[in-house]
Amino acid sequence: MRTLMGRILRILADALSAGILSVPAIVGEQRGVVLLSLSLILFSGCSSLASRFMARAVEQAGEPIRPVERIVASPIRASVGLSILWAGHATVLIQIQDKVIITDPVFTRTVGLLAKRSVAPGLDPSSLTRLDAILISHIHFDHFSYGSLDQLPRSATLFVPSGGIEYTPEFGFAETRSAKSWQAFEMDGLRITPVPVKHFGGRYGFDAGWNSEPTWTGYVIEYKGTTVFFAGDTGYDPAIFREIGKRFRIDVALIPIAPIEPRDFMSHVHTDPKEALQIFEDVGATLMIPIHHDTFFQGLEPEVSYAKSIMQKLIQERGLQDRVKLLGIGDQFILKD
Amino acid sequence: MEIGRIVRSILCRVGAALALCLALAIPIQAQGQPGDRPGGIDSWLVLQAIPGMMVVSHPGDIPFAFEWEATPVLYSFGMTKLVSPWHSFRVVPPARFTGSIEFKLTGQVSTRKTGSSYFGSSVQLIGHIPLIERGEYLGLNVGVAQYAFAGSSPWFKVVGVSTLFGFVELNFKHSSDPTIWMGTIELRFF
Repeated sequence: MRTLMGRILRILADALSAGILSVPAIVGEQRGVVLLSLSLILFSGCSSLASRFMARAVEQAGEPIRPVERIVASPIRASVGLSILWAGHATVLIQIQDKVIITDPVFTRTVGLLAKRSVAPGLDPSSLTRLDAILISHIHFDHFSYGSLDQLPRSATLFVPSGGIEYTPEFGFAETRSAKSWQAFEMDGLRITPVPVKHFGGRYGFDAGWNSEPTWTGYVIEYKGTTVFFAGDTGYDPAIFREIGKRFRIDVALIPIAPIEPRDFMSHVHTDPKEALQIFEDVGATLMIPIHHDTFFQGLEPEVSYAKSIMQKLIQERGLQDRVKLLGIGDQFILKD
Repeated sequence: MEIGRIVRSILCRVGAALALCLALAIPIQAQGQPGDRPGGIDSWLVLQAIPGMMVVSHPGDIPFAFEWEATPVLYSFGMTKLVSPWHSFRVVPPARFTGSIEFKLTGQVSTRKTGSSYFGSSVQLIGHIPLIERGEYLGLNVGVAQYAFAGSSPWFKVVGVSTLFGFVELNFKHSSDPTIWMGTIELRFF
């Protein structure tokens, strides 16, 4: 029924796409964002691209959420040098010795009301007995999930991009910090530095240009000689990533590899696997873990694992098996015992 | 049959108004690039031009009206302490739907004369209570409103819900003296 509804919506929206709202006056890189949000508002689509995004979301709503193959019962380890648990999308549990950090936590069935996850989260938030920091890379629904943050221990310090503060409810965390690029925070030896990345702002689409400060960031986490770079959600900009590589000696880089299609739009704000590998090289990290794939249908890829299969191929072709770890959702990778 | 005609009429008017306002808003909004932060006051103003819609019970007729809203003061109690709880006119949606008390003014243009005028106005005090996802998916609205039209100014009790990130509010308003019901669809873009 929902699939049928999705098809009907697609036909209707495509028919409307020739209408007055897809005027040539819509220019610039915010075109897709604006159109996507307007299609949400009107539920009829304003362009063929936006309508296809909408139709994909409606189709996905009828699909079951695939169960995750493994969930680590006790993800916080009594003794570990560095562990990385990928819970899906950009949600990564990082433990560096006694410090526990989570990035962009998303555990809800949907984000932004309409986008449903295709696979269950690879981490049970109730198994997190403590947290030191929660890092929010930007304020889009799939990264700044209010319902997910409500499930996390209140002991944590919440980091939000400076422009995202006015979108931040009071969750009751120990502290909330406004993150500005290069302004490092020190907490009991844990050093967290927001770093610039290339993305776009707003939460609802039409508010993309309304913030006085950036609503997106990456982070570098340093603790007792171990350094992890979390790129959040980003397009490729060599100047930015080479600068990060100059300033930090990174052990592990968490870099997004999707959504990929349509490339002419996505390339401004999302890296594909090739560009992600270029970031990996630019920042000079020892190890890369691809993130932001295999969880939500966000682009117009033929299947949710499209980016993963491209990444696998690139790893094989370039002989990067020892340097790029393509984790499954729920996998916990121990790098230093 | 009559209801069908009214519904069709409402949908046509709503569609036309939305299309016009959004067509005006898009080019302004789209001039920026990622990273630009112009403040967006121009596109904000245009979005405020998108009216809500209301139907009012009336013996033998159901007048339909467009309604524009402005929020001189909103006190938010659901947001981080790092930002001021006080907002005026430009209200970020989470400040409203995560829990707030809003004082707002509205103006109406009716498709039929009520009394001797097509125009009306109201003052409203509305509380927004988050229900699901801190109110972003679903919230409850309760409050009071005083409308001025047709030479009278009855008080209304207000109850309703907000959804779709606080963009859409469906409210019912009831006055007992005289007995009047209103149904409103209110579109809130900041």
